[in-house]
Amino acid sequence: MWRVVGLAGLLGAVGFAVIEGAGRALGVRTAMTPSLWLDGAAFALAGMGLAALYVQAWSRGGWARRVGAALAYVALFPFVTALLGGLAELTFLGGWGYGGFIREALLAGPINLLATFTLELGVVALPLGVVSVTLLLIAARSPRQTA
Amino acid sequence: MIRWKSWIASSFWTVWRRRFAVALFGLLVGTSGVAQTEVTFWHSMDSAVETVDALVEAFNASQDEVRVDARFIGSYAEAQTRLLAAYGSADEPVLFQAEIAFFPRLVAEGAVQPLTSLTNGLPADVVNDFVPGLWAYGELDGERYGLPWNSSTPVMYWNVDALRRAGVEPPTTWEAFEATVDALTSRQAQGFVFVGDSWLFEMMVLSLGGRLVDENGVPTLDSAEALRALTLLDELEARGSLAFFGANESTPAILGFVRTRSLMAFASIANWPDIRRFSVAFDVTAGPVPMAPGGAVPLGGAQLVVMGNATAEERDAAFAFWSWLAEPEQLATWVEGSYYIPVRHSVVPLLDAFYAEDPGRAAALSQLELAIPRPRIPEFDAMRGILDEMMERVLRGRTSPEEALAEAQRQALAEVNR
Repeated sequence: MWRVVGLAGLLGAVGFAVIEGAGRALGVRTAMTPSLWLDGAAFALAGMGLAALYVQAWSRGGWARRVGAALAYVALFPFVTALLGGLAELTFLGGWGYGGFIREALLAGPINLLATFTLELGVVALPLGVVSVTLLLIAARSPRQTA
Repeated sequence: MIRWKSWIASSFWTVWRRRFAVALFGLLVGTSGVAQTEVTFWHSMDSAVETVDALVEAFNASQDEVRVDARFIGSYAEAQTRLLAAYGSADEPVLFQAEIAFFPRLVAEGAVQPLTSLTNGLPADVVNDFVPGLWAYGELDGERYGLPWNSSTPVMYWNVDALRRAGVEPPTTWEAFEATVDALTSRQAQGFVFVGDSWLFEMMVLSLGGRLVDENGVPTLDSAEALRALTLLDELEARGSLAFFGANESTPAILGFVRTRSLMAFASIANWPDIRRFSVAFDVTAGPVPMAPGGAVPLGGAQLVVMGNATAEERDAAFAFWSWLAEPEQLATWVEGSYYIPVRHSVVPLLDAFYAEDPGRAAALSQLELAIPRPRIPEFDAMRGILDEMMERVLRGRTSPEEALAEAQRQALAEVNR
């Protein structure tokens, strides 16, 4: 399990770097917080959290369950990532005291990241999501190395 | 036998009496249908279409002589194209909402009817109740062709939360505006979104003290103020502080603002309902645009005109409809639904609660004393396209502001001298 969760974190961080780079190249604002580190951490943690949720389905489930869990991983990734990004910004950079900031971080944020992943940078984000989840599926199904 | 004949005769009369009664009823119904004059009304009030429909329904229900058929036919530009396609045909509407830069062209081409004889019959207290600049707008060459209804000025919108977070105040000068836009720009958002519409560029030039057309009707697109306005936009774009959208891309621009990817914008006060339509996750308000000493803002909106094909009956019916629309109660309903400026003084007290709810709603009204008409030459309609294209070329990085303005001036002069 931890091998898959660790890989998901790594893939999340790589995904962040690719999205950030593509956004800069195409002039699309993709940031969730003012900090690169917080954004990267949100991507990695979202990947790890979702992988922990679905690793059982990937490793032991039937064909339909594996595909369903893979689709759910891809669909939930932007929402969980943006939610973590919003919570990180509110916590580390202030804003819990203002209703407007909370609405922005927790409502506008997920919609923004979903739009980025589908409309603005869909050409990059969707293949990236498919590759990431395929690697996670393979890792979850491959037999564990024993000494 | 006699009985038989008598029965046939009575049946005959019974049948014909019935037929006569039915025919008479039909004639009466038909006659009453003919007496009701139909007024087709083409408008561009997308964000206030429900209010327009409600007003029209109330007018139709209030009397039997006139029936208004209101149709939303697209943006001002789309309406203009559709009107030109229908011009002179049976499809031409009776009443048309002509954007104010298109209005002089319609008058110059003799496409609309003079209404002076009708407005001369209005009581003096009614005429004097209209805001003078808005009332005068419908007159050209001593004749009245346009009737005021929806008027606006450009205002500045901003994300209240973002400015609070950045610790900056809404800017009132162009120097402060530039600094504020840069201060708001971050990894997450651009400080300012600009739609390259000629009206907004005209606002920048006017507010800096310039004009796009001088008092003799000669274009002055290459003025120092125009260069300063375009250079400011160009520099903000180069620094990544400005998100630029073309004149026909206002929807993605609004979405960028709603998504908090851009934090300040210029637009008509009547665009507020467009923003409200989306679920805005932050507080939004509006205020006057930045202003240099001696600056002004251009009036916006439209004039209601009666098209040339309308019969005298239809013209009178359209005027009756406008007269009803221009009553203070109806105008108050209209302003609350559309956010346009009240065109009559007596409407303002009826809107106290509406403006008190958010003082930003009165931003356009507060600029009214600085508002001046758009250039009222027929060629200005074509100049709008020249300006839109000029901004595209500069803000997409294809040419410098100086070159673009010089080229735009050449094209505008060619239009005027054609």
